[in-house]
Amino acid sequence: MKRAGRPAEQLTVDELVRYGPLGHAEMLVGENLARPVSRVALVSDLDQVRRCGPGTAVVLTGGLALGAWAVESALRLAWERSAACLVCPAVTGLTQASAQLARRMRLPVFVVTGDTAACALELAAAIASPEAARARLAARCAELFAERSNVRGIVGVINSEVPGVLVALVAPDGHVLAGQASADRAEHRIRVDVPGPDGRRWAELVAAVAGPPSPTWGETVRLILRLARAPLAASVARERVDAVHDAERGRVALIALFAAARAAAEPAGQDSPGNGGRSMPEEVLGWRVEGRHVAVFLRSDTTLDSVTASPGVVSAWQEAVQELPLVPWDRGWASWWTGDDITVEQVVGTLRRNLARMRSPIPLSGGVGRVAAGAEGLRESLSQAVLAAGVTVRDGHGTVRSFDELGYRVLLASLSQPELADSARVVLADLLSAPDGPVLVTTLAALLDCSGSTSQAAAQLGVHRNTVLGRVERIRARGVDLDRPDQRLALHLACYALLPELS
Amino acid sequence: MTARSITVADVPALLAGAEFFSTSAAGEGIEFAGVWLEDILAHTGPVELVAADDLDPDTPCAAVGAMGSTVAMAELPPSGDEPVVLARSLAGRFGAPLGAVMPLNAASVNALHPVAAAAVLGLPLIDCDGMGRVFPLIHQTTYELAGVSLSPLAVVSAGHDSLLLDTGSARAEQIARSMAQAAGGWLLCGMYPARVARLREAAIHGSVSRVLEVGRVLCEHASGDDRSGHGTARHERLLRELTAATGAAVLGGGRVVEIGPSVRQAGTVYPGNPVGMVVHDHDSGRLIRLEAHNELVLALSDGALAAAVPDLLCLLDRSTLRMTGPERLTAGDQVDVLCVPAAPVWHSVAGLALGGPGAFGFPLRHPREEGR
Amino acid sequence: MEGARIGVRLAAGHAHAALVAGGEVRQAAGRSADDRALSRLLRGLAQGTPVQSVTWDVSAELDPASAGSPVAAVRILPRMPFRGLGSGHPSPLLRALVGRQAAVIGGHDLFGVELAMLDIYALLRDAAEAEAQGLTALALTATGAPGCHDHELVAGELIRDALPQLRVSLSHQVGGLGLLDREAATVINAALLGRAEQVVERCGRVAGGLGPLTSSWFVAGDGGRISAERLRLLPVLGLSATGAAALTGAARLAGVDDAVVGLARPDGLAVGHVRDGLPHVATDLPGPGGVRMAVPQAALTPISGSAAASASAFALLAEHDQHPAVVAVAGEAAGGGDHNRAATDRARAVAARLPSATVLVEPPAELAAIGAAGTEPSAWLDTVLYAETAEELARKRAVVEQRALTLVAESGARLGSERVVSSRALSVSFLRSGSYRLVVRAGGRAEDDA
Repeated sequence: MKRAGRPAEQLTVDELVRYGPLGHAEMLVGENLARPVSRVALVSDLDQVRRCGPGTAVVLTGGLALGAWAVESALRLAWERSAACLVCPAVTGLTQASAQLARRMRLPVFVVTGDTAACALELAAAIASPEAARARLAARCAELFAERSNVRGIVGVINSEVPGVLVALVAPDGHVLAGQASADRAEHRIRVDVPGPDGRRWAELVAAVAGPPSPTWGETVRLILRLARAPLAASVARERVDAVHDAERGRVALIALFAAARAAAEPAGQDSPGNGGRSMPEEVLGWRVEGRHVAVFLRSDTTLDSVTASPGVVSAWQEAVQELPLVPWDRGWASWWTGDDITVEQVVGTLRRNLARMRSPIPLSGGVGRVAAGAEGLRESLSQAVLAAGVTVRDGHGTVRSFDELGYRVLLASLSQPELADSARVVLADLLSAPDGPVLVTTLAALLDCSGSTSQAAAQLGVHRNTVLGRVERIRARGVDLDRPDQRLALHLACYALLPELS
Repeated sequence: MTARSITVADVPALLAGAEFFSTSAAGEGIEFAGVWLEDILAHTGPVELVAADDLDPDTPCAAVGAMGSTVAMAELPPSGDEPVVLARSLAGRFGAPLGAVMPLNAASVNALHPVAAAAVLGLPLIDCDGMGRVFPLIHQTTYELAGVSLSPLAVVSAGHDSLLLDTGSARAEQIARSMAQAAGGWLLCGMYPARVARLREAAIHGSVSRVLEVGRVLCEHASGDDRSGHGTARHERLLRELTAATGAAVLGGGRVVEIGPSVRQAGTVYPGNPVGMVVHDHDSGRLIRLEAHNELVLALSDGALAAAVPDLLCLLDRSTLRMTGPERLTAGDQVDVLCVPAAPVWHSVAGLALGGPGAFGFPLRHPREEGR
Repeated sequence: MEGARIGVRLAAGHAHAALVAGGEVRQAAGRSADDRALSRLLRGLAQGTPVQSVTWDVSAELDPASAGSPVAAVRILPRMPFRGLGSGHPSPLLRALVGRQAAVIGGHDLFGVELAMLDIYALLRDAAEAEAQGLTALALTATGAPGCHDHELVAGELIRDALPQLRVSLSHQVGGLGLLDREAATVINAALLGRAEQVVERCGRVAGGLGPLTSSWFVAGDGGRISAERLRLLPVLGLSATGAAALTGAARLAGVDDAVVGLARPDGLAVGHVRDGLPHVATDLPGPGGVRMAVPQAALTPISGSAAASASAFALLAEHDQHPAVVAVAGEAAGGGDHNRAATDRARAVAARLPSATVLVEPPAELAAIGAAGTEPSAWLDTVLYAETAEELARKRAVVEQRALTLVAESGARLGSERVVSSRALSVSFLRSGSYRLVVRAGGRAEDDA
């Protein structure tokens, strides 16, 4: 089916610039680029311009390069004939005044070095078959996709190469993973699903086009989006594999580091083969082991599959905190800040900001250890951070607490071992059997945290004090006596043992 | 028309009119010639200005005019007896002494040379010319169009190197021009020797009177007497009087926004360098581009051809109320662009071929040719 | 008060002086008949403040009509004028100053090609006759001297050697294109050589009385300042300096570098332009006695008539100018009687008609004297060159610009402050392609500028 005759199918000046022969020309005046180009006229004398129809791309031959006056004459005639644009040879006499005139006439003007006749031929070929030109555009995009190794690069190719199109990669939850966020809000959109490495729908490519696209143009954009899918899936998979690989290397290296540190700290120990290993993380991974550190530990709700989420967490971390490693550790992820003047408060603040920025696939909270020196110190700081992180879990995503701030309460948080939890369920059976049992247990824990202060507990829980008073009444009604000092520690322990499963 | 004479008192008007018809570019620095002519007329007495019809049709006459640079002439002024050398050369050809002289072109410095020649030779000056303006080449004349032969061409330099050239018009032009270059930058020429009867068809009549008339208008305003008012009123009145005296149209006026050498592959026959300038019309916002090659050749208004040779393009400096040209202007100056229609013979097919845009290397049709 | 500068305008037996130091301006005026009175006036003005420089506007002292003495005018041309035609000058002033007119064979064309050998015997004979006639100075103008000044230099040498008493002015030193205009300037220059010497010596003496560190300079017609040596050689440069100094002073007091300036005088308004702190100049303006000279002078357009008429005319000019408008009282020193009051009234009337951005300057001292105090070294060159390519043009242009900068340095510019103010290369009509007229203006900051 021949469609070239329909105005909607014609290439615009802008398209000729983006992927047509005008891409190599200098754009002297870039007004009114959305006009369709119907034909090309190569003119060697001014009278020929008079015979051009509307929408013509007027190309002046070198023989007409007689100075600014000739270009301005051609400009005028082209404007009178509603030409689409004017292409002239590189005449050194072309001046600001000529450009000003063209701007007033809203006529695009291009300057071509070399033979304008060649340019005219290319224009004619492009205009004669827009599909071919668009196919060339698609081919060019495909070529460029192959050269890009990450998601952003691939989306960027579309945004820079395809005229009048803005594109974004959008996650199912509406989160923009790459590209122009505004694309997702545009009036005229073209959408293509993007599968993940597992073949399931992972995200969506959304292209915003200016105005309702003509059928062929819509097809072209859709084709280009489809062409982007495979490279996108490949790069996502590659990024995940890389992240897992790096994280695993980091974990092994951290273990080796601590082992070496411990060996060094125990001079009586065996001749350490780990000495060779000790230099490994520093050299290979670029870590700083000497100096003062503050370790941090990130964790999530135990019920979530943190192993599956790990690549996502690591890549989200790397996006937010480029300079520091995140190493899978224990039931979460470890990292540390190093610096001569570093303080715990700084790290808490920094981590809190970064957690808020991170696009993590699962909710995360963090603990921060004390300041300590060297590899051995780092190990201690990390242990403290792990304990502190345990307290944060029930506070939800983004919470950061330091070991110093929590004090001994960190101990309580680490008690959620199965047997202790079983005992606690028995001890607090009356309380748990209440309709709002879990709420009452949580409230009891808060009250004990706050030495029985109902107002502090209300603040910690984020509820009104009267609510807390009401709950205290119900707790007491279930036979729990908060005022007996000999019972208080046991109660506190029992609450903490149950908290992880209640939150 | 009364019998007239040109006296010392007429020289300022003659000079101002000569500047007007010089189409701006060539009018630069011709004041020296006024001082020079005044001194000559003070010695010789007035020159008689006669209509061709008032002379015996058999009177031998010849056109007098200079070729070359006015700057060079200002630096090396004529010694005064150049016309005598020319008259002697040409009289030898006629077999009789000249009975009258006429201007090659009554514009720029060449409006003054024939007056000086008539004064020195004691001959009447015929009130006509062959261009009605300035053209760069001495064979771009109505004399040529009417078939009067340019040669024999008598030339004399400021150093009194003299020559009588017997060849075709274009050849004579070329040879004389290279001689001008080598002999101090200018030559005085005696050419188109003919009987007065031939002038009836071949000349633009009344040219010298017209120069004087326009010159008087300009002089009146330049003297700046209070009666003429100030500012806008005075400027508009001058424009009105100039258009009335010359039939000129005002193409526009405003600030010069661009001026400088123009890149263009004009024919190499023309000496001098092409210059381009753009005037931003104050009222309409249009851009008027002017192309000059010694003189102003064409005007485009927003890219549309508004005026072109052989019609005259003139620039009036709003601040001084004097005619001006690209050599005297810089960006920011305020000017008016005037177009004076050329004599009708220049709008004939042959006239446009000899003096139209094409003759200046512009592949354009003159506005009068549109629809022809 | 470091760096105090004094400007003095001498006219009609009176001196109008201004001292400018930082933002402070003081004024003094009085009779200037004898050196002692003048010295007292300046010392009183200085009040013990160290004065860096005194710059004199002596254009009234150098009025050729009264101060000029007749000279011999000698043209060097390839051919003698026919029956003496075309060599006279219509100006009565020039006719009065030319005591003897002669021509000798010689000269070059504009590109430096010799047109005829210099006839040294005729030249010496003419010079001797001039001296015998009682003339004390001789103006020598060779055709083509802007392109090649060899004949003028040779002629000057020969005359000085043979007739040491005869002062000689050479036209190429005066500069400018066009034989008649350059000759007029050279004649006026030669006629003023005697008076200039007296004036320069006197001014130097009086300025020296303020202390050994006080230098003496002179305002030139282009609004720049020149050294005593240069004025002694080229007094013509010191003509028409008052208007230029007043323009400079008005812009300074208004605190702008570019402006359209209306100088309000009792009898009318004179409009000029200041660009980059220097007055706009032209070479084709009528000079003393209406004589056009090839010397740059400040372009001032007079607008006569009532205050209201001049106000509306100036308002129109200012409206079309992209630079701010400045109206300045250009009468004599402040509080100087009816004469000055008329100028002040006019200035206020004009300023009232203009947009609010207009600056009204009512100077605390005479405007020209303030302007004189603030003048800076400048130079002007007007020449013709031939260049086949743009590169060649640029090269030759740079050489001329360098020459202008050297002249500025010689006028006491602080090293490194010299700059080209404007440089225009215009193609010359009807000469072979590649012929350019080059007009270069350069300026600098004075050495004594704090």
